[in-house]
Parts: sequence; C-alpha cells; structure tokens
Amino acid sequence: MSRPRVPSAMMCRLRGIGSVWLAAAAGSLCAPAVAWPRAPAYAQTDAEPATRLPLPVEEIDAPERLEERSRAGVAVSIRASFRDSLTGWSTAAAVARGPWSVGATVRYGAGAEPRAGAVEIGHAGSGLHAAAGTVDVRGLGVLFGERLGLASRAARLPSVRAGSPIVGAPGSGASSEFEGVSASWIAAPWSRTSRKGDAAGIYAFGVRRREEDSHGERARVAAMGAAFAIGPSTVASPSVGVRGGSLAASVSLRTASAAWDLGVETLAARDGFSTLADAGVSAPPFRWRGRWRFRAGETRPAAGEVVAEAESRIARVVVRASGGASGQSGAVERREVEGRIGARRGLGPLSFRFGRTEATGFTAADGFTERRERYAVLDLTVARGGGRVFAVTATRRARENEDGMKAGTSAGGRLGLTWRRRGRLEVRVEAVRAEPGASAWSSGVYAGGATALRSRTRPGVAMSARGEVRAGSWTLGGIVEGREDERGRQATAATVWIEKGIPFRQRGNDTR
Amino acid sequence: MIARRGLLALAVALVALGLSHVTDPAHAVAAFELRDASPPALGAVSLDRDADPWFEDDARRGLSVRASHAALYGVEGLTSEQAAGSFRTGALRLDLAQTQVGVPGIREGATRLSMREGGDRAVSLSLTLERLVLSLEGEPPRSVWALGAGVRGHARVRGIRGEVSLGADRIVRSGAPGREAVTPALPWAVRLRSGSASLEIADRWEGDGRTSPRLSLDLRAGGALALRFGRGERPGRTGAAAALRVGRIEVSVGRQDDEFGGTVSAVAVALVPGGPKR
Repeated sequence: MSRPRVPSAMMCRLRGIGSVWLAAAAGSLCAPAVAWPRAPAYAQTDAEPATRLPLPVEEIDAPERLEERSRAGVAVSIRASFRDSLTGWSTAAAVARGPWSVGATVRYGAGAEPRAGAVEIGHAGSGLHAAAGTVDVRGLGVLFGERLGLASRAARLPSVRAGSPIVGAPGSGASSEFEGVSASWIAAPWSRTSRKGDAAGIYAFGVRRREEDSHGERARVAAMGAAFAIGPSTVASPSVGVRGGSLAASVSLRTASAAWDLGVETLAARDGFSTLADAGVSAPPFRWRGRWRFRAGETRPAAGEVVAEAESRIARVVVRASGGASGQSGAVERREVEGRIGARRGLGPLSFRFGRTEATGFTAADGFTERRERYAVLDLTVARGGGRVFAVTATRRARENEDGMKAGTSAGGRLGLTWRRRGRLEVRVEAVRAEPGASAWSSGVYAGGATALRSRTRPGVAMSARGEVRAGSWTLGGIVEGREDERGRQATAATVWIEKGIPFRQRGNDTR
Repeated sequence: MIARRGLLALAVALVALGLSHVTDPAHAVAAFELRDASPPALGAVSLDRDADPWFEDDARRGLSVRASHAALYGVEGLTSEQAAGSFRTGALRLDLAQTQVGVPGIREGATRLSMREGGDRAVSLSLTLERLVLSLEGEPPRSVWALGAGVRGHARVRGIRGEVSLGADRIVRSGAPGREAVTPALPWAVRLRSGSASLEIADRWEGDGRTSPRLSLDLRAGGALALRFGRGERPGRTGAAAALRVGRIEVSVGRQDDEFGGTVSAVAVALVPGGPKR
C-alpha cells in the first residue's frame, strides 16, 4: 500500500500573493503516485496572509514562477502562449505504474523545434525522486539559495525555510535557467506542527546555467543536504554547496509550538557568516513576528522587520515596519498597514494596504538620490451571490523626489463567475492615469492563479480575463490580457492550456 | 485614399468642434462621445452614457418606446435625435436605440443594442453592441463596431439601497478607418436610494487619462412626477430635468448649461409598459 503523499504546500503560501484560485486548484489536483514532485512555496514573500491584495511584481521573488501551474495530479498538459502570434508552447506527460511514475516535459519555441526538456522519475512508496534536463530548484534555504545563485534576493524579508528542496521541471518556460540532474528522497511531514512543505529527506543535485553570463561563463552549481527531525517539533537541515569554486555551507533550524515558532539559518561562505532569523508569537487576538538578517561582506549588512497583527471577527489588521539594504549601497525603509474590514456577507469586505517607503542610494550617474513614496491599494467587494462576485479596486502611488511629487492612479473592478464547481471566470478591467515621471499600478493575472501589480507609466485602459472549465478529468483554461494606451496603441497577450488529470483516491473518497 | 482620410478627419473635427463650442478646445468632445442627449441624461449631466430610468417601476414587463429631440449649444442645425425601444421579460431587458447627432451634411449615427439582466440579482451583467457611423455628404459612410460590457452590484446598508456599476465601454472595436476616433473608457457610478430620493456619484475614466466626475439627485413624487438635478466638473456643467407621467404616457424636458455658456435642451415622449412588474 503506497504511503500517502504530502499535499502541495502552495495552499498556505499563496495567500500572500492575493488569489485563492491556485490554492483551490492545488487542493483539488493533489494526487499520489505521480512523478511530478511536490511544489513547495515558490511564491515569494511569507507575508502575513491578512488580505487577498496583490503584491507588486518587483517585490515578489521569482516572479517568473507566477506563470507556473501545479502539475500535481496532471497526466498530460499542453500549453501555448501568444503575443500577437504564437511565441512558445510546451507539453508534459506522466505515466504511473504501481508505485513508479515517469514524467517528461518539453518546451518549444514558436515552431516545433524543442528548446528544453526534463524527465522525472518517482517512487511513491519510498519518496524517491530523480530529475534530469532543464530543471528548477526550489525550497532551498533562503541565504543558501541566494549564495548559490539559485534564488533572487527578495524585496521583503522572508521566513526561514527548513526542509528538503524540490528539483524538477519548471512549470513555465520563463523559469528554467538551469540544466542538470538531481536525486532526492523526501519523507512525510516531520510533525503535526510542521508547516506544510517542511519535510524530512536528503537530496543532491548538480546544475549549470543554460546561457552564458556577461563573462561568457556558464555557472555551475552543486549541492547536497538533508532535513531531519529533532524531537517532535523541530527540524534541522544542513546543506553544503559550491558555485564557481566557492564553497558555502548552511544550517537551517525551525521549531514551533502552538503558541510560537522560531527559525534560524546560518550560512558560512568565503566572506564570512550570514544569518537569517525569524520568530513569531501567537496570543489571540494578537500575533507578533520579528525577522532579522545579516549578510556578511556587504555595505549595509543588516535588515530587520517587525510585524504586529490583530484579528477579530470582522476585522484584521497587520502593521509592518522594516528596513534594510537596497541595491549595492542604498537603503530602504518601509512602514505599512494592511488589513481587512467587514464580514463576508453583503457589502464587503474591504481590503486595504497603505504604506510609505523611503529609499536612498548612490549611483555614478546621479550621485546621491533620495525618494519617498506613499501608496494605497484598496479592494471592496460590492456584492456576491448566484456564483458571482463583484468588487471594485483602486491603487495610488505618489512619489516624491528632487523634482517634486508625481502620482499615478488606477481604478477598476473585477468580476468573478463560477459555474457548478466546473468552471470559473475572472474578468478585470482598469483605467490607469499617471503623471509624467510617475508610475501607476495595474493588475496582472497569471496562469498560476495569482494576481500581481505591474507598474505602468502611460495612461490607458486594460482588461484581463482568466478562466477555466473542467469536463471530467479534462481542464481547459486560458488567460487573455489586453491594454490600450492614450495613443491607441494596443498590446494583447494570451496563454491557453489543456490538462488531463489522473483520477485518484484520497482518504477513501473518489474526488474526481 | 489619403484625401478621403483627410476629409474624414476634417469632418470629425468639425463635428467635435461644434460640440465643443469653440471656446475651450481642451474640453472638446471626441467622436461618438455624445451618446444620449435626452432629458434624463441632461438632468444627470451625463451626455456620454445612457441615462438611468426616472421611475423605479420602469421594471415593468413589456415594451416601451421613446423618442427625444435635443438642440445643442445654440449652433444652428446642430441637433440630436434619438428613438429607442425596450423590451423587458423575466430577468432580461433588451434595449435598441438609434441616435444621431450633427449638422446637415455631417452626422454621427449610433445603433445600440443592449442586453441587461434584471435588478433582483446581487450582481447583474450587461452587454452592449454598437454600430457607429459617420456620414459625410457625398462620401460613403464610415462605420465602427464596438462592444462593451458592464456589471452592477446591489447592496443594502441600514435601509439604504446601494448600487455600484462599472463598465468597460467600447473595450473592443473594429472597423477602419475610424476605429482610432473611438476610445475605450471606464464609466462607474455609485447610486444610493432611500425612499423617493436617490443620489448618484459617477465618473468616466477615459483611455487618455481624462475624467469627468458628476453628481446627480433624483426626487420622485409617487409615480407621476420625477425631478433630476445634476452637477459635473471637467467641464463644469449644471443640469435639470423633469418628467411627468400620465397613464402610460411620459413627457420629459431637460436642460444642461456648461461653464462656457453652452446650452443643451431636449424634450422627449415615451410610452411605458402597463404590464405587471417582473
């Protein structure tokens, strides 16, 4: 009898992105005995999941992963992207026989010539997994991943990750910068208090960049590590890796109880020790969390964040204050209030985010620069019923620098339609206004189900739609985005996908 | 071809110039932007969108027809005429309207078909298909097809009924030349109803960044008399209109004055359905 697989971790982590779509999809598509590895939290910031408000794309680490769709439980998928014409397409397939499963992914350019591919083999009972080809590495320790060049620096301080990473075929064509091989063994979650995605196991992988960098080199990276439980509520994960001849070693530790949790990651490399720590206390109706990071060898090595949250039956408020480095020599400070007011019946809830950032920096071209920005993001659900939800949205960014104050504003709405749990459609429309020299935000929808804010510098009207319909084990979905600026110039992009799921049984229920 | 396009551009400019009453080109109305010059639209200072009905019992099932005539800005020969019919059945309402505006020799025409869901739903949808035609004397007419959609949400807060509507106006267009003369826009409105009065706050965000906020107040005396007052900005304008209903006949008058001295006045007659409410 096969060991039940750990369900996808995306359901918890995606709340910070601001969409419930993929969480629901991941929950419904989780399946055992498939080669596709569990996808840990590719989404970025471990921001407190207070609201469904989207984050700016520039604050999301690995934004290219927003286009990825969960392949858990998917036997066959075909996906194509268009921007005025076909720009690329991909196919993926998995076959399961007993406890073994094999999956393959191939991506093509505008024609039928393959550009990249990967093969994955898994054994459901033992948790063994191997991958080769164009792969993506996710779930490494924060500092460890940055050091190896496998993860970008997050704009917001993340929480410590302790567990086995996942190496497998990327879910979209935009996130496959590496090719190589990997092998891993991942067990079930180490305890009931562990966060979804923290699992014991061992891993090893070796990859290199698919394209040359500015020095004409293709960086090679290799790493190995393990994750194991210490007692009933603690997990530790030591790792060692090498990139371009530079050795790095990391140890991550997470421990938790019902009322608190603590995580620490320490990285040792050529230029010294770096540390990331986060701790949280839960005393309803309040929750507090602090994060601190120290990067050795940098001009501004320290960064910190303090978060306070209060929640009642009808309201939830999060106050966040952070500061740290920006770029090579700059600094950025942020103060933010985010929350939700109102019940989920009738008018409301109102989700809001107000914030202020102050950034300083120094460039050879401009010398010392200082910029202050105030921003607001609002989302008010006006009405719901009969499988429909209508909400209005608004954003404003006001930037102040040496040239004065410039502002950008957007306003619009979103309409959500669902049909008997078999189909859903989300339509967004926005009008954007931006003063010369300013930028505004407009909502961007992604194939992975998330929504993020994109910067726009020209006024115009934008419309986007994302939909999916299910018939039996088949799913047909797509995204269409269109934008027109004040001069009538149009830009249109679309992505469509067809997927066939694998029927599965979970806890004795047929959930096809 | 180049000469024809130049003539088309000149014709569009002439119509727009007439509608902008010359003195402030910054507030020139774009082509096909004058959508409804009937009395309810003048009272709501909203010539750029279809006016909401006067009476709430306009939700009666059946067929209604209306016709209106408007004189624009005191320009000789510059008029707008509209003929429209509505058919409401169950939870759906169909509207077909034909509007034309211009001077003899140069006229804009719009044929508009709208489908709207009834107001009982918490969230109701609408779809609008338009054929916009520019007719120049001696030239073949130029047409543009446009598609728009809208959503309206209903909520109630402490005895006050609220409606929030948002539209994607002319979001999809086809037809050349002329497509570039029609721009998409995002009209929105918030209406609060209490008893026999309702207040509406509305705006229209154009694709080029222009906005035109407005405020209108409806007062009703039973089902026979309705008054509407409005005030808008960018450009500044004031509107007033009144409607009197006797049996199935409704007569209305309206007037809008803008900050540059231009005046639009209109009169309309309508035959409303006498059937049961949906």
